[in-house]
Amino acid sequence: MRALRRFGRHRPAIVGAAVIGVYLIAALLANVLAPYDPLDMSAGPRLATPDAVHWFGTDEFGRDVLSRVIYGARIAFTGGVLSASAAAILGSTFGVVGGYFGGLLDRAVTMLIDLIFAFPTLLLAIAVAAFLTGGGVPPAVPVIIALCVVQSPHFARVVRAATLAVKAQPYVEAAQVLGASRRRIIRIHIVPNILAPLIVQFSLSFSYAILAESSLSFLGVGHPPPAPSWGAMLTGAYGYVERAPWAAFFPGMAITLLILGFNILGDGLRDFFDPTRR
Amino acid sequence: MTRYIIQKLFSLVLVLLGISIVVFTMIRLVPGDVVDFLYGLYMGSERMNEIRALWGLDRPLVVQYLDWMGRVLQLDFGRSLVSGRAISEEILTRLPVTLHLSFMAAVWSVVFGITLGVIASRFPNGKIDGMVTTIGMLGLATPHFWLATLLVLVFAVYLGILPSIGYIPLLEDPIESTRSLVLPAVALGTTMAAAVMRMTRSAMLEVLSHDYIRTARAKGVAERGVFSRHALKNALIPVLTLIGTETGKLLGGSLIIEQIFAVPGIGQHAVEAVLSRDYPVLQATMLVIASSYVIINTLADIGYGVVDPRVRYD
Repeated sequence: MRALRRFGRHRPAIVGAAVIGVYLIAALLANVLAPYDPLDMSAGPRLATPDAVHWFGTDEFGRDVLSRVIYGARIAFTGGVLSASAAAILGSTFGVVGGYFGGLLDRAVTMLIDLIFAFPTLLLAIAVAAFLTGGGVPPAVPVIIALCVVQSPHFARVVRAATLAVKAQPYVEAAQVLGASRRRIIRIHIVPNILAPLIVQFSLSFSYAILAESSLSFLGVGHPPPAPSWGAMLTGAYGYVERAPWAAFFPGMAITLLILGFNILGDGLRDFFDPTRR
Repeated sequence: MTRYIIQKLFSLVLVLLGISIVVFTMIRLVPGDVVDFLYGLYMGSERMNEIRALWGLDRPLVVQYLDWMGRVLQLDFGRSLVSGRAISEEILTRLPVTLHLSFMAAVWSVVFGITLGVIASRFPNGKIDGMVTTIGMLGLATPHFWLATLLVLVFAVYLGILPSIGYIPLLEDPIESTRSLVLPAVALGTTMAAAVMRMTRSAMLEVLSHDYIRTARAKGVAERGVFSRHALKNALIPVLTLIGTETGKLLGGSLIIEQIFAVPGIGQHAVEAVLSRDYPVLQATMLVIASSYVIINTLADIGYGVVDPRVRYD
C-alpha cells in the first residue's frame, strides 16, 4: 500500500499507466466501444473524410477506421502480453540458472545471449516468423514466437546480472550455511529480489513487441489482411495516402501513443525502483 | 591496446561462426522441408527426391554446412530461386545502396542529436530543454514506417520538394542520388537521433557537475569554451559507443525503410526474399546483414577502447 502511494507521487509514470489503461479498456471492450464491425465493408462510402459519423474516416473498402483502430488494440495487447510473458519466463529461467550456477552453464547462457544479440532484432524476427509460417499454424503464432525469441535474451541478461548481484549478498550466504536447498534459495531469496529489473524490462519488452508486431504486419509477415492490425492497416493505406491520409494517420498515431505510454511508464518504473534516485 | 584489439577480433570471428550456423540451421526450421514447401503441391515424391539430391539436401547436415560455408567464403551464395541470378552479384550491387542510406541516416541523427542534446543541457529544466525532451520521447516512440508516411505526405505530396519513391544510383548523379535518399534517411535515423540526443543531454549534465568544470569557470574560461572544450569532449565518450551500436541497428531498420521507399538495397532484398520464400537469398542477405552488424559493433568497441583507455583494462 505504501509502495502504491509512493508510486502515485511519480506523475509521469501515472500518465504512462493511464494511457495504457485507456488502450486496455479499448481492447477489452472493443465490441462495445467500436461503432461498426471492423471488417464490415458497407460501414460507409469508400475513403470517406472524417466526420461525425466516421470519426476517423473510412478506408479503401469502406470500413470504419475508428472501429479498426479500436479492434487493433486487441491484436496489439494479445501479441504484447503473450510474447512478453513468454520471453520473460524463458529469458528469466536462463538468466537465473546461468547467474546462480555459474561455470559452464553460465558460459553457455551468455553465448546464447550474445548470439541472438548478433542479429538486428527486426531481421531475426522477420526470418523466424517467415520460417515458421505455413503448415497450418494460426497466423498469430509465428509472430508471437518470433517476438519471444528476440526478446528473451534481454530478460536473460537483465535477470542474470541481478541474480549475480543478489547471490553475493550476505543473506544468501547465510541461507546456504543454514542448509537451505538451491531450489529454496532461488525461490525465497533470489526471485523476489530480482523482480524490480524484471518489471522494468517487461514494460520495455511489451512496448517493443507492439512496435515489432506492427512492423512485421506492415511488411506482410505478421497478421494477414483483413485482420485490423495497426501495421497492416498502414500498409493498405500507404497506397492511397494522397487521397485519404487519415486511413494511415490514425493507426500510426495509435501505435505511437501507446508506445509513448509504455516508455514513460518504463522510465518512471526505473526511477521508482532505483534507490539512488529516491 | 594490441591485446585488446586481438581479443575483440577473436570474439568477432567466433560470433561470425555462430551467425553462420544459426542462418544455416534456420532453413531447417521450415515445417516439412524446403523442397516439400516449394514443390509439394505439383510434384511427386520421386521427383522431389531428385531435387533434394540435386541440391545436396540428402547428405548429412555437417557435410552440407561445411560445403555451404566453403562456397560462402568464396562469395558464392548460389542462385536465387525466383530470378535465377547469382546472389553474390545482386548483393554486391545492393550493399553500397544500403550503406549510402545508413551513412546518411547516421550523419543526420548524429548532427541533429548532438546539437539538440547540447542545447538542452545548456539550459536544463527550461522551456527549450522541455521541448527537446519531448521531441526525444516522440522520436523513440514513432514507428519508422509511420514517420515515413508522414514525411512523404508533407514533403513529397503537399510541398512537392523531395521525391517520394525510388533511388538514383550514386555514380550516375551524386546530388540527385543523395536527394532521393533524404526522406528515407530522415525516417530511418529518427530513432537513433532521439537516442543520441538523450544520451548527449544526460552525459553533458553529468560532466558539467564535475569539479574541473567549476575550475575552468573559476579561472575565467568563457562559457562557450567550457562547453565545447571541457564538457563536450568528455561527454562524447558514452555518446560515441551509443552511435556505434545505433549505427548497426540502422541496418535492421533499413528493411522497412527500403521497402517503403523502393530503395534497391539489401534490406529490401531480404524482405522480398521473405515474401517470395526465396530461401537461398534470405540466407545470404541475413548472413550479410548480421555480419555487417557485428563488424560495426566490434569497430565501435575498438573505437571506444581507443578514446577511453579505462575500457581496455576490463
